Parts: sequence; structure tokens; C-alpha cells
Amino acid sequence: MKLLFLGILLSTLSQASWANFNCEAQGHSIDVTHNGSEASVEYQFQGHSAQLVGQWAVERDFLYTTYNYTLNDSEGKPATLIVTKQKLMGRGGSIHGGSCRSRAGCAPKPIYYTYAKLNLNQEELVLECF
Amino acid sequence: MLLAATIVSLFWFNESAPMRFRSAESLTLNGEPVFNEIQFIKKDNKDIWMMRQSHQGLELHNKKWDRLAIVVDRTDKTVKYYQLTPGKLTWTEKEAEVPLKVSCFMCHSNGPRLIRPHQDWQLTSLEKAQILAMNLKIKTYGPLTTVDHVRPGATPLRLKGKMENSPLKLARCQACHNRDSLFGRGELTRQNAVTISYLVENEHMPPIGKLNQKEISYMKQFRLGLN
Repeated sequence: MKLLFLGILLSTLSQASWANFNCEAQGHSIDVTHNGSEASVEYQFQGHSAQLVGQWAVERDFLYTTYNYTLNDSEGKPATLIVTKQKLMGRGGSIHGGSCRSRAGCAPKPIYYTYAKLNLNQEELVLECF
Repeated sequence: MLLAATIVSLFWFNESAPMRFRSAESLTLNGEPVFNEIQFIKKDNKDIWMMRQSHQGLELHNKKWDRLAIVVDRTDKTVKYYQLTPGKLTWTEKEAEVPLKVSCFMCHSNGPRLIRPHQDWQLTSLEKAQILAMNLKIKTYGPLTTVDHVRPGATPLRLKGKMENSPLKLARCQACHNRDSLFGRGELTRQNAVTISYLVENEHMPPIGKLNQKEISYMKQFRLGLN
């Protein structure tokens, strides 16, 4: 019973930790929230906002975790959103300023970067997520 | 003189002398220089590219330098990668392997890469000629097929994910980095993106001209996993 409770708690915490994204670039911003298989995206730019809702799915590789969204705005116009979390390894990454840097002997602690690409009203936006 | 030495090196050498230099591309986690010692060995139908590497300066004891090998079979155009127990720059078929510290394929998509010593490192004329000859050899292998084998440790030679293996679709790069042309340098995939970015940002690639804004935008999205 204790194990079950712990499992549920861990599952809830882990979902809470990755379930939302806040991304921005050049005055554009999006807030992404998930509720089960449904996603809600609030887009804002210069005081204007749009609410997008739809479905999402996730694919996980070693270096990339990709969230794909199929959305519609309040008027039913389609929009797509991709959010990708990229893992840069402590070895072998431009995080050290080079390509094959630190092949050996360095801390293997990875660094993560998350970016989003929103296609809305025939416009493409690339935003950095925090 | 350099050209003559290069031509002689290219056609006559079966085994280069060990050559030590500071890497132009590698730095330690603290930004300190990384030193490489390389040697080329030709054995039967195989080209063996041996390397020892120190992340702790030139003073590091010989027995602590990492030792690696890339073996190109010229007959069937295959390439194998090895991380070996520390030791001399010698090669036998029975070298003892240790687990890979990093997935080789992330930086080596088509066997050995061009040798790029740091600009501040002083090379002799003979060493410069040998590097030119070795780089010409590397550039003219054509597409190589990576062959893996049972090896110790959990680090894979090549990452297997769908995203990590999605190809770079930029015509300017694909002109050389393809699997079809005689001197093609093999296909580039997203797991090579960090290396590609480094070479582009430092103007090693493309070899002629520069990427335009549209290509730069594609490249950025490719690296971030957005296209």
C-alpha cells in the first residue's frame, strides 16, 4: 500500500515537472499546459492573445524528447507546435565550444535545452522554453 | 617542397611516424587544451588510424593517455571503431578493448575525420606534409559503412533513435555528404548536429562559400530537433 502511494506520488510529481512549457522569443510567448492527452496553448504577442487547444504526443530518443501538438484556435484554424528538449552531453558538445570536445575524463553531466516551433496563421516562430 | 613531401608521403608511406599535437577542436571541461598523438599504419587491406589522447596535459603519464583506433577496410569500404586499453600506438587484431566513453558516430559519421592541429602548435615541414597526405587519404575514401561488434560497456557506437538518425537535408552539404558518389563522405544525421555546427561556425564547412540565411535557419532547427 505504501509502495502504491509512493508510486502515485512519484508519477504525479514527475508529470508535474515536465507537463508545462513557457517559451518566448522577440516578444512572442506561449504557455503550454497538458491535461491528459489534451493540450492547451496560450499564445501572446504585443497584448494580443490566442487560445489554442488540441492533442499532443511525445517521442523519446537518447538525445531528443519531442512533443508534437496538433492544435486549433477558437475559430477552428489549424496550428502546429513542436517542442523539443535536446540533451547535450558533458562530453562531445559545443557546450565546451567544440565538436568532439572532452572525449574522456570529463563529467558526464548532461545539459538540456528546450525549444519550440509554432506554425500559426502561416507564420513560423522559434521560441526558447524555460 | 611541402607539395613534393606530400606527394611522396601519399604514395610511399605505409606507416607514419607518431605525431603529437594540440587539438584544434577539443578542449577539456575546464577549457584546457587536449593533446593528441596519432599514427597511421597500413596493414594488408586495412588502414589503421591510431590515436592517443590526453585531457590532462602533455605531462600525463604515457600509460594514462586514452588510446583509440579507427580501422578502415579498403576492400569492402567498412569502418570499425575501438577504444583500447592505454598503451603504445601499435595495432594487432587482438587489442584489448575498454568501454566507449562516448558514441564515436556522433563525431565520426564516415570514419576518420580531417586532422586539424591547433594553429599555435608548431609542426615540422615533414609533419605538415604527412598531415596533408593523411587528410587527402581521408577525403578520398568515399562512403564507408560502419560495422559494430560486441564490445564492453553500455555506450553504443551509434545512437539508434528515430530523431537521432534523421538525415541532414541541405543540398549544399549533401553534395559531398552522401552515400552515392565516388568520393561521398557518407550521410550526416541529426546525432552529428553538434559537430556540424562547430565546423560551420568555425568556417571549416562548407569548404567553399558560406551558408545563406535560409540554410543557417534550417541548420539551427536541425540541431534543435525542430525540423
